[in-house]
Amino acid sequence: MTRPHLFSTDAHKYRSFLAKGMHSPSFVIGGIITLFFIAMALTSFVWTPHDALSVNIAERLKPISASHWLGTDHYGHDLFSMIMLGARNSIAVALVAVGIGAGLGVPLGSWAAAKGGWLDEAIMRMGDFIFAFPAIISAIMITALAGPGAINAIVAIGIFNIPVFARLARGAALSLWTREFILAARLSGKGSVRITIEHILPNIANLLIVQGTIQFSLGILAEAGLSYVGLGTQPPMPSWGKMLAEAQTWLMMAPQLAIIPGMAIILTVLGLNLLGDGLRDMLDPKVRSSLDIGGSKAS
Amino acid sequence: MSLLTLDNVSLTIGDKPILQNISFSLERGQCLGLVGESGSGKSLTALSIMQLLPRQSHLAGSIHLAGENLVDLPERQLCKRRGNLMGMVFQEPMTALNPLKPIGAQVEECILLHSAVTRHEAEGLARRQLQRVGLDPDQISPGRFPHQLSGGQRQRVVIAMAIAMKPDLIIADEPTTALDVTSQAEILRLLKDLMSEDQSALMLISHDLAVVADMANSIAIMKKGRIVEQGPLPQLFDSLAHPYSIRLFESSTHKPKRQKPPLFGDDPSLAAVAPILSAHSVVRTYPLPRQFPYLERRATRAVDGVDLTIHKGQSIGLVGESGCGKSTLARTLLGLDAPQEGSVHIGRHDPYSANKSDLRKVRRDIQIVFQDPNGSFNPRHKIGRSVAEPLYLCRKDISREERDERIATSLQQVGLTPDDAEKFPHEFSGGERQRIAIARALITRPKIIIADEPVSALDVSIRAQILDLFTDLRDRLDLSYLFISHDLSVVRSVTDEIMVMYRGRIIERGRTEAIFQNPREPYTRALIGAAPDLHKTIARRRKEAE
Amino acid sequence: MIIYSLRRFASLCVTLAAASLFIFSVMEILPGDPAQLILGINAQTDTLAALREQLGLNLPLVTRYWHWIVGMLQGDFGVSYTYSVPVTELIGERLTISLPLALMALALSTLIALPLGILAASTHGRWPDVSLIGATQIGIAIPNFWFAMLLVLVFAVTLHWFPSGGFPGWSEGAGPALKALLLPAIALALPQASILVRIMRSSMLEVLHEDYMRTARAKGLNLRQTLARHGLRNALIPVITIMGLQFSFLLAGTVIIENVFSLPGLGRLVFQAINQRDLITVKAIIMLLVATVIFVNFLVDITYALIDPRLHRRQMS
Repeated sequence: MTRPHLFSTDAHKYRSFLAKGMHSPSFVIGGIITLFFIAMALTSFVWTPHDALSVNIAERLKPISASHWLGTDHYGHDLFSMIMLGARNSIAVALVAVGIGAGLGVPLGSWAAAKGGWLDEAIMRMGDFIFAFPAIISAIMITALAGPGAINAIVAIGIFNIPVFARLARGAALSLWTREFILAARLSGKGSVRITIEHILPNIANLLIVQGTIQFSLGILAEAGLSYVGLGTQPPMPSWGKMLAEAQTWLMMAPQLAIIPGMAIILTVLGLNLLGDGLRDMLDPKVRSSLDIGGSKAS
Repeated sequence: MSLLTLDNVSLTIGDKPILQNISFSLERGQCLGLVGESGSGKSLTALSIMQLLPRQSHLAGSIHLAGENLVDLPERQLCKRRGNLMGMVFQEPMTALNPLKPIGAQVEECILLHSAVTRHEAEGLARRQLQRVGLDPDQISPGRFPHQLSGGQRQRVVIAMAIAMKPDLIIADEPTTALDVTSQAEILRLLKDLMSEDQSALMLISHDLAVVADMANSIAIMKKGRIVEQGPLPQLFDSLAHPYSIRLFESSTHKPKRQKPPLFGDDPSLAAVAPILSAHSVVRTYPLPRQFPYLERRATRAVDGVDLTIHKGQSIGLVGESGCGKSTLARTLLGLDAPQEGSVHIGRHDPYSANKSDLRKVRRDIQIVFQDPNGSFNPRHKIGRSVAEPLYLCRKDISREERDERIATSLQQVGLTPDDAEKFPHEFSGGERQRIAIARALITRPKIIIADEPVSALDVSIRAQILDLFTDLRDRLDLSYLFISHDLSVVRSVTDEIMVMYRGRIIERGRTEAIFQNPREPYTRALIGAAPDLHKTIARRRKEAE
Repeated sequence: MIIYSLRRFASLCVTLAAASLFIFSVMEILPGDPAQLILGINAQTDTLAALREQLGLNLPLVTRYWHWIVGMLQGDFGVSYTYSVPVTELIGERLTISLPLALMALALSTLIALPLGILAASTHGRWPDVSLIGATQIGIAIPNFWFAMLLVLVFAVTLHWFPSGGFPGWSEGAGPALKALLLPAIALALPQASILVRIMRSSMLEVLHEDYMRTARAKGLNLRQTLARHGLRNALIPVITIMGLQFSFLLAGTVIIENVFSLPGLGRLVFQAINQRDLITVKAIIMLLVATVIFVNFLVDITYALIDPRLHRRQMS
């Protein structure tokens, strides 16, 4: 679905990149939301309003107040502190999963594009094969194998990300390999590794970054889903998905327990998606120079 | 009253002025040629008439077709006129047809839309139209899909759609630019015949003065959204006054001047020295994909037994239509695609069996200039870095200072300044980028440069400058060229000898002038006959006018 | 076309074989003795051995894999360790819930998304487009199980229009059963639909720029006719590919959503099986899910070829 025209052939756009970004509302709003949650996750390492892990039955199911900004749950945990720890957990899982996907997928995809032939075929068929194992199925297998845990979620989501990045990198690299400046580099005696590093990767970086933000947000959703069914993060570490699972029992008495972590997930994913959209609009020259087919009067 | 009259038409898209005060008129049964370089607003003039402009555009002035002002008509009325009173033929036959519909149905659609006939009758009419444009329904079924046809055949389908309703006006926007010379001649003849049969007016848009000169009764020359000069043919060629039209005319017939005499392959001085580049019965095949595992693999012969020898200082042209194997041969000669049979020698070495250090030396001797000045450079690298890239071949022997010095020299040799090394590719125009591509080829001080369609993507005036540069460099640096092009006039102007390639084979070779005067092979004759030649055309038109 | 289909079919078989081999190897590495599991800790050594013999656990791996494959091809997935009934029976019973649920969600999301996507594209830049883009942006961000909880809260707990969970079974008639599946299907369909709207829209916009659309306009078709006759089919090609890829997410969603509504479908079964270490069941369900994904992608490839005549001849990859 992502097409090779995405890479800008225009270095000038590249340079005034941030300046342009400030004019894109998606980029600004998405960036602010994303930074907010990252800041929250980082702060949780040194400070949370309350100890998120200590049970305090006396304080259970408290409404929103000055001391408990988002109230407390059925064990008396401070909800805001749990959201902070949950942010750390979600972001860490999703980030590592994207890292696995990009770290293995991009080299594999670039390699496939550079060598072609049976190697390309093998890597791509491998990708198709992995696509048949959605994260939840991998997670089920890993859990059956090694018991539940956050690592399972990371590995399951990460593995699914590998072919995503591999396909993208391969497709974009393939269309670059036919370009004449690559041919010139080959004639200069440069090998495929050097060409990939000097010419291919810098020109597909934009595309990979945009895809990275998308996979990041999908990772957060997947982690929440896995934790919700108990295949992801395990107690006592709080996670957004697990908070939702526990809130389900209290849905009638304390719906805010379900609504608040849900909003946290939605906001983070929304922020990342907006950021990705903003980046893509800035990098894709086609979006702005769009001329529709005729019909000034058609509408 | 004229069939089509444009009166002071101005167009802006967004805030950008595109057309300014365009006025012309076209009579029934006549042909108007609209000529200009890329970006001059030719196509948007056509789209203004069709009223198919992009959304943010604003049109002022009036466009009268058969007495009605199209600018004032509501969309519903315009739909009744498009395809009925006015038909359009587009530049890109490869993309102008819906890939998912059979060609017959696409022609039929136009007929059904504008006339009260049954589906069955429309089918018959569509077959008749296909027959008229030379696609005999018995041989080429109307049930075929566009991808099963060649470019020329697809363009015929587009024409069949445009003429289906016998419109008063046909607008053809660069109808032959994407086609080979021989198909170009056929398509132009077809348009001409249909025009006279149906008494339609034709508005022919082209960047090629020779094409227009052949067809048009009158001509309008456009530059930057304005018409700078217009008038009837052939008289206008005698009275060209605007500096731009004069330059356009001169560039179209430009022939670079050489200081040194031509050097032919049978020159006695060459017999004693070893050639720079030679190939012996080179065969390069490409395997077709297997239809099914274990079925036998078939292969196409892209290059089929080619021999060639190029000596120092020679300039040889390689001519042929698209798909004849020119570019594959170039890649094989460059050492990028090993031949299945035969051998290639650059100097004394075979690039496919040379050891690493020999290969580096070999590669310094042979360089290339590509067709597309946009794709020739990594957009993220400064020009200096791109130009210096071939120096990677001599990375061990060259210091930083010498590298910078060579970049500066190369850039100066092609008419740029050393400071340009610090800029990015997008800061240059197409012509300048092609100069930079030549600078890159020169930096290793090669003995031979392979130029693969080096001016095909450039406007005529720029094309003339680049051809001058090639000629000048050859004189100064004693370079050899293998000049690959589909454009005979280009090859004729810069080479001493040519080879004609057809289906992977060299079917004719010899001195350039001799072959142009007296081609032996029927294919060569057809090729030369089909190529537009401005001088000849004007002479013919003058004769007809008398 | 026939050669193309055969090629795709061959590739389907290879992928299925690879997947089965992979699943088998992973599940066989698992520590734990199924015989011990069935008989409990206090079982006698000779009874254990006898049971192992009976389950075929003493046979070499290759033979066991062969038996597993041949069994599956005959519809025999073995006998569940914990329920002591054939796995085929277990799965078959649960499929009567999971399959209609997935199909309902697929139908809902497609029926909603495609028209909306076309609407957005044809009003590009104006309010219907802008508001749809905004709505889908949020729709994509909503986790389906959370949306499911919200639906329960509003329509089941507060308004009592729908049951909050459980499944009455098909024996009570289709009405109550479909009613029980509607909320879960909506929850599943929402994020899917949001993605599809966006894909449909961008694909349609892409097609709008194609030359043949301009040709069609030059013939005299109006914008609506151009979209309907030339735009739609071309725009659907990438959409179908995405729908194929989305299907695996739909399956994953089904597994999770069944837990929100306590529907006794495949999703519930697989989690129970994991907890009880009923590995033969887990293995069978995973194989089934993976095979479904692979098969759906095969169908997509075939549909693709039916729509696009260019594929009949074009080589793959």
